[in-house]
Amino acid sequence: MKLKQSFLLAAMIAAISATSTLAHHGTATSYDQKKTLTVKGTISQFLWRNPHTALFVAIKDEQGNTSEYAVEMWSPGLMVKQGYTRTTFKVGDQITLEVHPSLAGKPVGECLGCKLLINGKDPRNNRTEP
Amino acid sequence: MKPVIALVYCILFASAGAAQVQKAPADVSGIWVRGGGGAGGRGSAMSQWSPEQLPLTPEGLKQLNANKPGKGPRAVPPAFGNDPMGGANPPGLYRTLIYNRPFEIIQFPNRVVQLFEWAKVWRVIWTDGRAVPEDVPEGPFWYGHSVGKWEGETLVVHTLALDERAWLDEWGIPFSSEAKFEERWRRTTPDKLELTLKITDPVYYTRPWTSDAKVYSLQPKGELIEMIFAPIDEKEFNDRVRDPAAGKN
Repeated sequence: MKLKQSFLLAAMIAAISATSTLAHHGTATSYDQKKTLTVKGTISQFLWRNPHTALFVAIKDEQGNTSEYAVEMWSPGLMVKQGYTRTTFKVGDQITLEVHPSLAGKPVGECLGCKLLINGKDPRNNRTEP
Repeated sequence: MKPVIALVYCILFASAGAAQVQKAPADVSGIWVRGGGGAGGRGSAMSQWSPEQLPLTPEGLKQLNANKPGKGPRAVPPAFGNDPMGGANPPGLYRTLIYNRPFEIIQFPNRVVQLFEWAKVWRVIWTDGRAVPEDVPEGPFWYGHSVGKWEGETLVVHTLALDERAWLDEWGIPFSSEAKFEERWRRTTPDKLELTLKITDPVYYTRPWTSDAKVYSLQPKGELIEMIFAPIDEKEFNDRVRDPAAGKN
């Protein structure tokens, strides 16, 4: 595990919401579209690639153990339309985002237009609420 | 021959081809997209050619059941499906045409060219008066071989030699190597382009069937971007995101 100890301050809090997302390469069959999971942690990697961008977050459980949470995101073209850029997600920044979690219960989620804050602010407008 | 005259000859023969070139009675050029949303569609419920029950033969039904898509009523988690695009293979012609990503049409005197954003590929429809071949020895192709002619203001395109490993749509609808296709393109209004697709495939379907009309909207300010699925990227995404999401590893 390449994650640095200094990155760690995460906790995962599950909450339910009724949001839904259209299928994106079969996301509806892999992620629970009826649940929202809040993921908090430190950005460890961001892949700006077609047709999916992907975010990896270092999270920490109550015992202090660290692990990686993977997040499927839009294509770069759609990310730009949503106001994000290839430099929005910087390694080491603190991030909170609300994902649709893996139906298999794995540490993977989908964030297709989901709410997210980086270092406490919406990176698109610097507001503290997304 | 003077250089200028030689150049004119070259341009004429390079662009116009055979003498039977038909003057296009309609202009279908421009950037078009289904749904009118510009670049970056997501597919889903739009991604089927016909909402009706398809007249499958037993062999067609067998192939349909063998195709395991990530979308539609038969969807499985992509990690457990066999969508050829899951390995970054080409979407193929008809899956491209039904997916809501934009394409540009450019008309020449002897051909119509479609430039697809999805996979950044092009397709040529020959309108130089040639006959539709019975076979294309070099085929099959992911994007087929197409010959078109104008019937009034409708561009009628016959396509064959399509690689049967491609799917017709996001839902895994199959076609066989014997399939032949007829597309009818018509600009119904200045900013709308309509396509219907007729499929004749005696191996997989008991009779020819025709799609409902698919409508594309003109994108006057649209620009195509690159949308390439690179195998190296898809593999990493599958290994680290898609497969774990489904509990595959």
